[in-house]
Amino acid sequence: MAEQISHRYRRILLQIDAATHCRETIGTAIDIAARLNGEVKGVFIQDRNLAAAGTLGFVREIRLSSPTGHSLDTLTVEAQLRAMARSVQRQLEKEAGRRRITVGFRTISGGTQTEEDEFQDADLVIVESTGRLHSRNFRGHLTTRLSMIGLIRPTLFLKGSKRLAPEVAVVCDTLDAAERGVLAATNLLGRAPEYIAFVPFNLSAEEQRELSSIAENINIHAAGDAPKDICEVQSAVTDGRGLIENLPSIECIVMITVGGPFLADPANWEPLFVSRHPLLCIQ
Amino acid sequence: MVEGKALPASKLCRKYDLTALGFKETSELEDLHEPLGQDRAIQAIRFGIGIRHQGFNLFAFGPPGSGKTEIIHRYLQPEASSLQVPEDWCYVNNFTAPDHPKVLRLPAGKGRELARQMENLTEEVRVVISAAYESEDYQTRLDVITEQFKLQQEEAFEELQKKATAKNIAIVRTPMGLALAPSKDGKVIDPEVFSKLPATEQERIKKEISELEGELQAAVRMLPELERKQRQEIKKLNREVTSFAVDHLIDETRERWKDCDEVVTFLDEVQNYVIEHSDVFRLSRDEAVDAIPAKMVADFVRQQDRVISNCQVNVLVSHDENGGAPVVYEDNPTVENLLGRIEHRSEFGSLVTDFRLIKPGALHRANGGYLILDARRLLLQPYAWETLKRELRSCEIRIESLTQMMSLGNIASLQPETIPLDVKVILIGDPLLYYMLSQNDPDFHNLFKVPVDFDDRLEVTDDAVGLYARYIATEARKHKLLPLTRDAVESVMERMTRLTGDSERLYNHARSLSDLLSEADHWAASRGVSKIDAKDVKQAIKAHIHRSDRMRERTQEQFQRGTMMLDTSGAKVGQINGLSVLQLGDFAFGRPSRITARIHLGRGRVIDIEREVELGGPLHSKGVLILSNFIAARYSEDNPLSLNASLVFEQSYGGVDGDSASSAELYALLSALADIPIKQSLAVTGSVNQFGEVQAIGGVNEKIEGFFDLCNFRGLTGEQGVMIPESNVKNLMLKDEVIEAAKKGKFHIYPVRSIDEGIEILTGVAAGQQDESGSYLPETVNGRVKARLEAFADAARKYNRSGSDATKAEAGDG
Repeated sequence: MAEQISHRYRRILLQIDAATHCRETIGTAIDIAARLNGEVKGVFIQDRNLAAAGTLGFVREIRLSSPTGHSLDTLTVEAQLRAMARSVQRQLEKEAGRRRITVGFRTISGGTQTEEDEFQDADLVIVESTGRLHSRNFRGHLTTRLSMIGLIRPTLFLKGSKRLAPEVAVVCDTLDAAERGVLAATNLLGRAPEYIAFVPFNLSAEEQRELSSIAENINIHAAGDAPKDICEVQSAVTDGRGLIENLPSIECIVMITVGGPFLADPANWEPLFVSRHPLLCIQ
Repeated sequence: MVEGKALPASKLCRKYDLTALGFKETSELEDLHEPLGQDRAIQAIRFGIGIRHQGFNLFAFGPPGSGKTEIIHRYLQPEASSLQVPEDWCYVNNFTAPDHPKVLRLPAGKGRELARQMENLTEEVRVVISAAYESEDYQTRLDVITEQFKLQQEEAFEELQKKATAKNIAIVRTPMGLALAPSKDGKVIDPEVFSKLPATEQERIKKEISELEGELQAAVRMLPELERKQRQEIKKLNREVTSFAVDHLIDETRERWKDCDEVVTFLDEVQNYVIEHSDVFRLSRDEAVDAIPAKMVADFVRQQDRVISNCQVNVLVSHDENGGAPVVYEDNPTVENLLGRIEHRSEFGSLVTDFRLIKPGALHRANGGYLILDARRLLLQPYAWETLKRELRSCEIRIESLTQMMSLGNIASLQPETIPLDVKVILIGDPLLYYMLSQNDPDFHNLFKVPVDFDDRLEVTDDAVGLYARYIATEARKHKLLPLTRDAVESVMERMTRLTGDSERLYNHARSLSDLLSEADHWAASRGVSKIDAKDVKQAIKAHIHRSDRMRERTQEQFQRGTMMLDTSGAKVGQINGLSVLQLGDFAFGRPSRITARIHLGRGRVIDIEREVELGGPLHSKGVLILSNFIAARYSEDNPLSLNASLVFEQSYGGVDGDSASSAELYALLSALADIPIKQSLAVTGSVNQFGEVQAIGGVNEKIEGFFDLCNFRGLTGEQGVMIPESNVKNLMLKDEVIEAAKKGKFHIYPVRSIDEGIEILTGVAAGQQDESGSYLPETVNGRVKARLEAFADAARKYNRSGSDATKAEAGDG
């Protein structure tokens, strides 16, 4: 099964734009690719809004390093974006070279057909996202939300410019989501069962019992390596805010299955997006 | 007349008979525990090492190889063992001024203990701090702080975001900051769309954007202050967490050292330092490699090493608590080896140092005890002597490099705190150095008040002979040599007496004795015997001389081949055989020389040709002046000395010094004046004073043997011999061949006290005694000399008168 999963996730698309560039994101993408023996394709998306702002002529840039207004014209915007794209490419290639990972790199304009084509071709999309106005780390909303709406491919949303925590919480809005989550956590993220926790979401009592038996089953299979209960089932929750309060650690990865009841209601996933938890959305 | 005055063979060499000691070989003799013949030196050593007042350091001097160092060690060790063990000295970091490391004085043996405890402490501190920072509690508190400040930041931005959204203005993230642009449905509107807006609408939007920019700038300006506050809060949290984690550990150590105020103070400083630098204790080296970007790992590791090492202790000197006071011998007394040094290590092309690189010097190691130094080596090392004096004067050790002392370099280095110095220094050197320093260095007697004067000879007495036999036995055992038979011991003692050049003294020079014994042991071993016999000793002496006497043989060869002219038979007027000694290294040999004298009428001047050509030394010139005055005073009391005489060492092409040939020169002069031939079968040595008394000279044995070897080669006639001052008879330790020849009447040694005695032996003519009228019998040597001088005086008067008459005649003619 692991071989199949590895095959499925061979092509990793790393989406970076002016708002989401950070070294840790590149490192995480390379780590995952190295584990899956896959390849990384870096896509630097030139933000359409930024380009448009540059053409208006009167927009000024307030720099974080020195808060004075600088005129933002098309030339300046293009120069900044090109410089940034080159920088991202260099970092990606350097990191990939160190780990002997095949990488590709491309710069495209955001919100175009090309961008969608790139997504079609990927097995896993990695996006740096916060969803919150983190001052210096402010990432903006647009790219993240657009990607989220589409979610045509498994997508990992990273938060806060840091590496992934070991713990994984699988949002079990269906029993199928639990099984898929375990597979993705072990094969895609390389997590041992002891780091996996099920968070039941609006499951019936019977489904919850079945979920417990799934967890036990996992523990039985893993008992040879670990002599204790390792895959835990958290208390059941009924909304997004309750879910956050019930997660096993402050920075654990939250895994959500696309198409399930949880994502159907934006009120559920909004708290997750503004939280510090990295999100992995799987199909 | 001549043979009656010759010394008997028994007087030519002291022979030892140890039968009375009752041993057959040295293994029967007990060890000698006290140094032989060094009573004065031993008293001085005991006094010097016992007195603890300042300035009573020792200067031991004596001939090289006389066993000074060993004897000093022998007396020093028991004294040092009985003294209190000095304290340990350590250097620790000065947390307020790292360039000035602090010194810690600890009870003996405690230095290493503290160093070990501090090593363990820092390791434990690292573990507990790491655990504290990884704890859920810390992470939660840290998150709370982080979130608080993030919220504060976000509040400002979110407020702005809401305002902007309400006014259809988007906040766009640029690579370097943020920008505000008009938007519609979340998308920035195109310029074409914007341009189609009414002018008033455009102005309104621009105005709103401008207002929002002001707020955005205010929010951005607030960020550094918020971040600074956040850092302060985190620092406060870190201090609290670190303090909680490490306090109990340091308290444990502090409790162990509660009696030592200096250590307690140091631990207080370490505690503050650890809390201030808790960041570097959070990660182990391996963890740092994983957690920190690769290019920063090296910096982190270096910083971690530095911080951890600043909490360590550099044990400069540590003593065994049961070991007594230290006795240190510094073989290479350079400034650095005496004072210690501050080493540097290379870090990325720069030389850096810290208190851990302070290394102790001999003064540190010997502090509280004794330091033994070789005076010559000390004086040869640049600034070492001045440095030692400075430290002894100031009673403290200040570690300074030569470049610092001379203000030559401006490399940033350390200035460690000085260490109180309480050391007894023992310099070992030769007498020349001692007397030179005494005379030329005004500090010397303030700092080295105890001279330890080692003698290299002792008087031959019955007791001394017995002790010397035990001394030989002790040395043989010490060097693991074969035992010596009694005959061998006697031979050794004869040799050692010969080395003093005095039959009434024994040479107690340790190296000479041990060398002789070792060589004798070699020859005995090569014969396959189990004891060293007299023949082995003699073989050792012979072989030793043979190795050194190539030049002697070459000189003898010149006489034998006739290159150097010297008669050993017949008689000649104004010609005599003098004797000189050549010293080449540690080997000396005698060399005969022909001395001639010529006289003629003159103005009372004796010309020393050697001096005229600047080949004669001052002592030789002095001798010649003495003999000329002797002649004038004895023979021309009432008349002017009206002769000119010349004296020369024939075929002498090197320098001549010393007055040992002055009697020979006088004999040659008297022979020339009296016109009486001198026997060429005799050679003469001895100096003379103004009263005609013959005085002692040095190297008498070598001189006699030098002439004997030549005569022996040409064939001993029974007429040959050497005339020596009587006061040198006690110095005779001649080799066996000479003694054998003397026994057979083939070679003679004539001791003389005066010139009159000597001239009679040399000429066979009576010297003659002065009668009451001041005259001598005309056929005596003195009578003939006086008559000749009077004749010269008459001739001079006549000459002067004729010269005066001629002058008058010329005046009359005029």
